Amino acid sequence: MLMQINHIVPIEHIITLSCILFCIGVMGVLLRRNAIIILMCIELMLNAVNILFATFSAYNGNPDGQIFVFFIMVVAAAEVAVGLALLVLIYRNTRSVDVSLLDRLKW
Amino acid sequence: MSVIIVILLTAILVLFLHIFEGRQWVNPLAILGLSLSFIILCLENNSLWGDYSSMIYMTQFAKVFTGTAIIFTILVFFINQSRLKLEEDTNNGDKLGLVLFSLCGAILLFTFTNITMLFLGIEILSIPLYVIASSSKHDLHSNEAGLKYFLMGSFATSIILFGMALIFGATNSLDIMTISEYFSQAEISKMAALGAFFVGIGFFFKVAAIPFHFWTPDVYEGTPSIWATYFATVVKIASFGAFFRLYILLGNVDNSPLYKVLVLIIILTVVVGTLTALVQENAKRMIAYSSIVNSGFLLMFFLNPSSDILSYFGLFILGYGLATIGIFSAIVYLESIGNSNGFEGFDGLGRSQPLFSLGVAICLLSLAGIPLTVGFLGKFYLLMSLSFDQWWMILLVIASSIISIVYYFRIFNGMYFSNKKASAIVAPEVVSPYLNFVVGFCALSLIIIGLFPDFYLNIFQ
Amino acid sequence: MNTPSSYLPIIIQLLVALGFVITTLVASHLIGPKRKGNKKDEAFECGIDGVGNARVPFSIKYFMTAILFVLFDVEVVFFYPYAVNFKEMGWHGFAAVSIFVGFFLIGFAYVYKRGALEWDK
Repeated sequence: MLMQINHIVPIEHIITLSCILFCIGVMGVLLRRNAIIILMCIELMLNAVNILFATFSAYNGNPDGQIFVFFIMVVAAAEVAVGLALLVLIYRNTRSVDVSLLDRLKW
Repeated sequence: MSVIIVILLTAILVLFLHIFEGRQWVNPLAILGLSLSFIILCLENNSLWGDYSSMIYMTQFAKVFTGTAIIFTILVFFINQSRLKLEEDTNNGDKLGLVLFSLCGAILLFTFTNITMLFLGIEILSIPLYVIASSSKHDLHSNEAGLKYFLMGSFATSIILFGMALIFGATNSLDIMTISEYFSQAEISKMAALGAFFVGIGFFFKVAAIPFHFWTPDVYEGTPSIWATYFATVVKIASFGAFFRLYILLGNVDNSPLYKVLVLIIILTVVVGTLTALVQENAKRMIAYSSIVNSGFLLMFFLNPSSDILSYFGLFILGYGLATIGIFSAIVYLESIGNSNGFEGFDGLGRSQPLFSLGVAICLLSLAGIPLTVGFLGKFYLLMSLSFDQWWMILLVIASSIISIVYYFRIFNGMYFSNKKASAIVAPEVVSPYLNFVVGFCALSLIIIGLFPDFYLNIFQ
Repeated sequence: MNTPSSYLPIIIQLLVALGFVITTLVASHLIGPKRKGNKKDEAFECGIDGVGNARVPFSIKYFMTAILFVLFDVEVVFFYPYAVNFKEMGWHGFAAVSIFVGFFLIGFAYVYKRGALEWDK
């Protein structure tokens, strides 16, 4: 059934899109100092991977990739829950979510 | 796979027992459940667990590593028991439950035969640890350790996932054997190679190889010491177990870029890790760097994978884990009597607690690689596994081991040769019997297995 | 195949989405009556005047509920593959899904017993 999809968009374009999204996420994690934005960038990376898996799944006619996407979505939700809880914990103690303030432990 | 089920049920029981007014039974129940799962593991046949579409396979390698991880977790819970005698902890059940859940993830990492299981294993292992790291709620160090671990951990996971997606695209399969067959071809597509590269980078983050190590000292220092023990041992074993299996399966890459990256990272890890450990003033950070150096040694086993290497790899990681648990229990004791984490905290320990410090000293000697201990044997087999044209690698191991004696000796020196008056020693308080047990167990097994390694090495066959 | 026209569906979707947003925003701006003044911007019969930034304080209760909602909500995604293969999987599939739901109920019972859902505390 999956094989019959009419692929009007070439697969390279979708891979490129996903790579660009992933790179935006990586740069965001490395450059931004606000913990919430870093969290959003990690989500962006995960969603880029989701696009990639869904694309390969559809273009190769192998539904395994779509199941994998489900797992990534669920795990991402769990990660967000834990991450936001940690941020609230830190916000209560410092009144800030700027990671550069968190330098009690030296690099 | 009944091991995972037993541990999971134990975790749920622990969570609920904690709510229903059974707090003092939580820790013993967790230890009991783990012991039961260990017995079941010993009785279990190596079988494919068919009902999960053959996604999990208990090999002998996986079995030994699972057993090691379970024993280490039991030791960590014994250390935890010593703390419960001193202070009331209203969240103990949650913490034990989370540790047990993450142990399930660790076992998945040893047994996966499908990329999906690998991913789930990594996440089940990691997500509880982010909470555990910040479990000391009002301590900013702990909060910060949790946040750093969380950000770095999920970043690394995303990179691994991206690599997995590329491998899936190239091979059109999530099954590890199919992927392995694809990688054993002479010519593999660029996309698959890139995918393997990304997965490798993600795992370098997870096993804390330099230059991807910078979260490690912070996390070890900020996390409450008991749980830092878990991070330094079980989590390390789990990440290395998964990485090693993956490397063997995808490892027909002798001349691939990944091999060169691996060599570069090993050199960086051992050299920079050893030198940075020299200048640390805090025992926990020193151990963190020592664990980074040991990561470098463990990565050296990847260079010449063969069937014998598996057992030597297991021996090295066993020696490292036991010794680290012994030293961490000394740190937990010192914290419980109010000493700092600096090296001066160890001053005079040899006089006030002679037997306890003897055990800690044996653990230190094993980490430094002194003969008659497992640590020495591990390094010996590591050198044996390296081929003659990797002579510079051999030099690296020997040089790093000699330098490492210097920084392990600083603890040793404090314990036995410190001339300071007993100011650092608060009244000679009794060491909790649980801590004594843990240190005694670690020290004795280090020596016994160090003298008779065949017993352990034969389990792998 | 690789022609600009192959992106036509995506472009149409983009235009429809953008168009809807812009139209509703502009329309509500044009249609709605506008009377401005200091008195009108004040809070109407609500005690003290508003002071400070609205973004600083937030209730931890809403946060807990929201987080728990996200967790329980997303897990529903696993029912989609089951719903598609409902007939083929038979009792075996039903048992698997029942175990899955059972773990959920255990989780829910834990959350409930721990008091994460209590509003007045």
